[in-house]
Amino acid sequence: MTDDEDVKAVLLCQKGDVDAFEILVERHQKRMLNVAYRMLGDYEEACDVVQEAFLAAYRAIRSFRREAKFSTWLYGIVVNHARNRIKQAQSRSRHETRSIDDPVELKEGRLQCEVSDCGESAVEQLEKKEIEARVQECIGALETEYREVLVLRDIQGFSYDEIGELLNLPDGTVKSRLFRARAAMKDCLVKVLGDWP
Amino acid sequence: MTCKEIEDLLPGMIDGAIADADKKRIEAHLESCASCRKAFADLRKTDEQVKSLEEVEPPPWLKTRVMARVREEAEQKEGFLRRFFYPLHVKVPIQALATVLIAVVAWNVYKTGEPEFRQMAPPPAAVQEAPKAQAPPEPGPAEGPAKKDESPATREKKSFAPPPAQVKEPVPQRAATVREETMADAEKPVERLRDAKRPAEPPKDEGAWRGTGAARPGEAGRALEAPAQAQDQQQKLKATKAPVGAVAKEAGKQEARPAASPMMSAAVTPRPDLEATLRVRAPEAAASEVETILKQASAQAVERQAREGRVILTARIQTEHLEALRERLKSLGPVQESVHVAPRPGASLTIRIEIRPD
Repeated sequence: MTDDEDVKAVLLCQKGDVDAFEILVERHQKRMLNVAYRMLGDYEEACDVVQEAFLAAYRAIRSFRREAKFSTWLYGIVVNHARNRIKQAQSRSRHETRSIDDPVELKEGRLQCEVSDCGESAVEQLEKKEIEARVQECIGALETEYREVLVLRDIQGFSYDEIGELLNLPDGTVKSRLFRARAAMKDCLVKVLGDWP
Repeated sequence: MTCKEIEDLLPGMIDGAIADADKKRIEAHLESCASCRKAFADLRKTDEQVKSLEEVEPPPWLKTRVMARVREEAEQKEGFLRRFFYPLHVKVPIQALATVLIAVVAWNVYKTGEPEFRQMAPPPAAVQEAPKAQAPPEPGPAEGPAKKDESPATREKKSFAPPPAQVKEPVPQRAATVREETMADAEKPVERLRDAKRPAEPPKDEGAWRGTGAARPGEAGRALEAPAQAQDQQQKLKATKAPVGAVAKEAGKQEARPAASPMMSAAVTPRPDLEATLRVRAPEAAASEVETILKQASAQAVERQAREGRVILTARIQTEHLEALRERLKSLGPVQESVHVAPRPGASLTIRIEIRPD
């Protein structure tokens, strides 16, 4: 499906065709869910955010002008919703402030071990899914502004221009945030996984 | 370049998001610096890990739920409108709003144009309105499109109070048109209506009435004179420069006066066959003289009206006395005449003499 098909569906929606919105949901739900999931680290919450984002997009679709790509506009909405969800979660547990230097709490209840505590054997024991879980935890430990650029660029493969448009940021800011996010991720993973192969 | 500077730029090496010059310097540095090489290797591994994250699949219910909420949203919008317009299944709010709007506009128009409404006489010759539909449409002063730069109030006023020079302008045109119509075809509705009315008319009005529109032999030529008479009438009105109200009132009076028959007064307001304007220094005194002259000329139904320094005399006079009357009037002062109906020997005609201050 191309952007033109997006445009057709959007035009139909703007004329009041609700069914045309289903085409857009079908086309973008997976990527939106992955953006939200990688930002939030919680599948159910990500599904919730995607629903909210689609509903918000539907409400605002009449105001969408084709100055930007529809997908850019739509992913901007989901990133905003995910960001708001993160803020809400942070305000709920303000006392549990995290930074990339803090220990990473794993879902399984295991705490991050210091590099010195973790032998190679421990890393080897981690299955692929567990490594992924730690990568996700590291992503979750990033500040939101770093997290979103990392997710959009390194996971979802958006271009720098698209990210700048989507987040309404200049190109230089996108790059500097991404570089810092990558460096922080490296530090986090080195701490979590040690010298992994 | 220091290791710190290199480390800051290393993340850009992952996807080549740094300038070529920096890239070359970093590559040169990495060859000689083991710690930076390790940092770069860790960055690459991190990138691989991040990129290797598996995509999650949306649950099957996600689209269904999204669409359910979207449809609910759409129905709520529709439902709100439906509830708003629900009572009696008619667009009550819109109708109520429209009614209020119309009432306000009507009240405003009435208030704005109230004086003009009062001054405006009832449309002359309601009976004559019937053939008017057959006659070509007249570009009345109120029918012209209002200028865009005029305020609504001005437009409203203009539409109900045409400028002085235009107030009476349509009257001779309309009369002329009607006359043309009636003379051209004696079987037309007006004529038939007149015939039907004739028995109810008093004898003294018959001449005047018939004089304005009856299809008599030899009168067809008068239709051709009508435009010229209309122009004359217009010029005369312009010369008087009477205010709108005065002219309108006078028009109303003048048209209402000859209506001796109640039926006639409601339906038609014939105009005098001859109108004369006499300019004198003392209108009141001159009016008395004119009255005497009229009596001497065996005039009938002499009526006098004084208004705003002018005196208006109406009377019925035999045609043979007309020339003498003219001479006598001229002896009193300059006279302007408008002949609407050419005098016929042996007949009587209605005259209206307006005596104005010089």
